[in-house]
This record gives sequence, structure tokens and C-alpha cells, in this order.
Amino acid sequence: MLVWWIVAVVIAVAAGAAIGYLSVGPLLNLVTRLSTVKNGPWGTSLAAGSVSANPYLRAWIARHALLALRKEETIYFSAYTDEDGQPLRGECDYRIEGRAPDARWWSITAYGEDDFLIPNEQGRYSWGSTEIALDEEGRFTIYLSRTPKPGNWLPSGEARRLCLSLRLYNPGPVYYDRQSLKTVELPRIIREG
Amino acid sequence: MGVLIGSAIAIFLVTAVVVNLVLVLRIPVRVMRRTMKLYPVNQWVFARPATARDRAIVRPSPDLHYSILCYDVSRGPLRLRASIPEGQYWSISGYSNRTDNFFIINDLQARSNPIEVVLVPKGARYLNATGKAHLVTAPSKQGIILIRTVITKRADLPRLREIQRRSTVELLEARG
Repeated sequence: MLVWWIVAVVIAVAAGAAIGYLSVGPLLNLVTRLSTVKNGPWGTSLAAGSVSANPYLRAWIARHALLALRKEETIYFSAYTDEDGQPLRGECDYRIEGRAPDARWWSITAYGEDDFLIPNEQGRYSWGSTEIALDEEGRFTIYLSRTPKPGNWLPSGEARRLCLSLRLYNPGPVYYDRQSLKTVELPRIIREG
Repeated sequence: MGVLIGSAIAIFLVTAVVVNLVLVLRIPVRVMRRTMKLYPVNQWVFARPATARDRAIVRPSPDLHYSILCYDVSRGPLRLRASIPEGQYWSISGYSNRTDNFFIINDLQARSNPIEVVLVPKGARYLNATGKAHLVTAPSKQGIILIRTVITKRADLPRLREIQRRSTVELLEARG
């Protein structure tokens, strides 16, 4: 009987350790998704960078958004899909359009699936409030595409999957309320082809 | 046999939870340790605007000019001084060894220009004689200080780099 007990404990510990290890990535993504406030394709976590972040969110931030500022200073939105919920793909063309967000400074940056800037001949990785062209109503359009586009072109290079990051530095009060965060106007990401 | 199976399941679940939590808790510390190894200790590093060639830190902003300092306050407080360019967003922030952003001061909140920040280890004291310094207690002995400056236009880079290079760091004598 003692042998059975030893075998059972060894198998239970080994299997538990394996499951504990293999579930790290999926659990990080799951817990982070649950603590994310969604607004269309954009999502943000108000606990990013904060001492109060739970261990899973903190670990996710360490892997995917190291050195993020806490919400009192900056709110970061990420988008991995377009308006229809389809993953952002490098071979597709997208139109990102919207009103300039209420923030002291803002920018939209494209990253590859490895969370780094996407190589392109133009050296163009983002558009921000300091240089983007706005129309008379204060609206902008960014074209995310492999091929050149007139105006605010954001090259997607050879990346397969894309991620967009919207940074709002010193944002207005509407971005600090969990409810209004879900409805405040954010740039739309429309697939064109 | 029922007791054996029940015990094995309990051991399996406890082991899975403990292993998972231990690994998750270690991720931020390991990532920070790996990142801090890339830079000298208690010395400013003035980075050029990020490009696709930069692979040290994930999701860099190409619109920001970064200055990085890996701090170590185990030998005493550190006095940091940095000039703040006028007319654009600027901030200095600190990150503990588990990635927590434990302080942030931007250009509108700075008490002086150049700003003076004294990073004090836990349990140590520092007499802020002038009252101008921002005293900050470091939650961990090691961590990262980051200065961000928005690049409003590329032609402004030489001026920003000149201002950036005025940043200093000084190890102070520990008391208490």
C-alpha cells in the first residue's frame, strides 16, 4: 500500500507542476482580458503599472508593456482586432479614423506580434498629436497598410499580425471613469481590403 | 483506494496552483532583472528615439526621447537632477524591481527646473534642506528610473539631446 501512496504522490506532484507551468501563459491572457475595459476593438486596464495590479496582470505587463505608467499619468489602449472583431493582419489595409482624443499628448503606434516596432523603409512607426493632419472638425484618418497611401500612412511592413497602441498622456476626466471609458469615442479601425 | 485517489487529486491541485503562482510572481522580477543587466548601474543612459532595431524593451514609443537609469540605493540615497525642456510633455518616473510604477512627476508638477529628485532607500532618512527636492522612497533597492520627453518635431532632436545630457546622478551618504 505504501508503494501505491508514493507512486500516487509522485504522479500528482509531477502532473500538478506540469499543469501549473503550462497554464501560466493562458492564465495571464485570461486574467488580463477579464480585467480589461473594452471599447470597440480597444481595451485598457486601469491597474496597469499600479501597485494594486494583481500578479497576473503585473506579469502580463512585464511581458508585453514593460515600464508602463500608471493611469494617473497615462492611459494605454491596445487593439488586436478591427471593428468587426477580426484580427489585425499585415496583409490587410485598414483605415483608422476618429476625433483627436482629449489628452495633453496622444499617439497611435503599430507593433508586430513580437511587441516591437515594425521595420519599414520610411521609418514611420506612429502618428501623434504633434504632427498628424486634422480636418476642419478636428478629425483624423490614418491608413495602416503595406502599400503607400496619401496622407497619414502607417506602414505595416512585413508583419503578419499587428497590434495598435493608443497612448493618452494626461488624458481628460472622461477616461478615468470606468463606465464612460466603455462609451467614449475612440478611433475606429475599419478594414478596407 | 478512495482516500488515495482523493488525496492524489488534492495534491495535484495544490501543486498546480502553487507552481503557477510562484512562476507568475517571478515573471516581473525576472524581466526587470534581465532588463537592468543591459544598462550600467547608477548612471544615466541617453537613448536615441526608438526604431525597429531596438529590441531591448517591448513596445517602445518612437515619439519619446528616453533617458534610463538603473538605480541601486543599497549604498545610500541617490540625488537625480534633470533639465526640463519647455513647451512639451516631459516626465520622470520610477519602477520597482517588480515593475510597479512607484512615482511619476511631469513637467507641470516639477518644483524646479532643473528638477531634483532624491531616491531614498526604505528606512533611510534625508534632510531636504532647500525643500525643492522631490523625496521619493524606493520600494526596492534596485529598479529603473525613466525620463520621457515628447519629440514634437525631428528638427528639435539636437536641442532635446543637449538638454537630456545635462542629467546627473549622485550617491549621497546614508543616515539612520
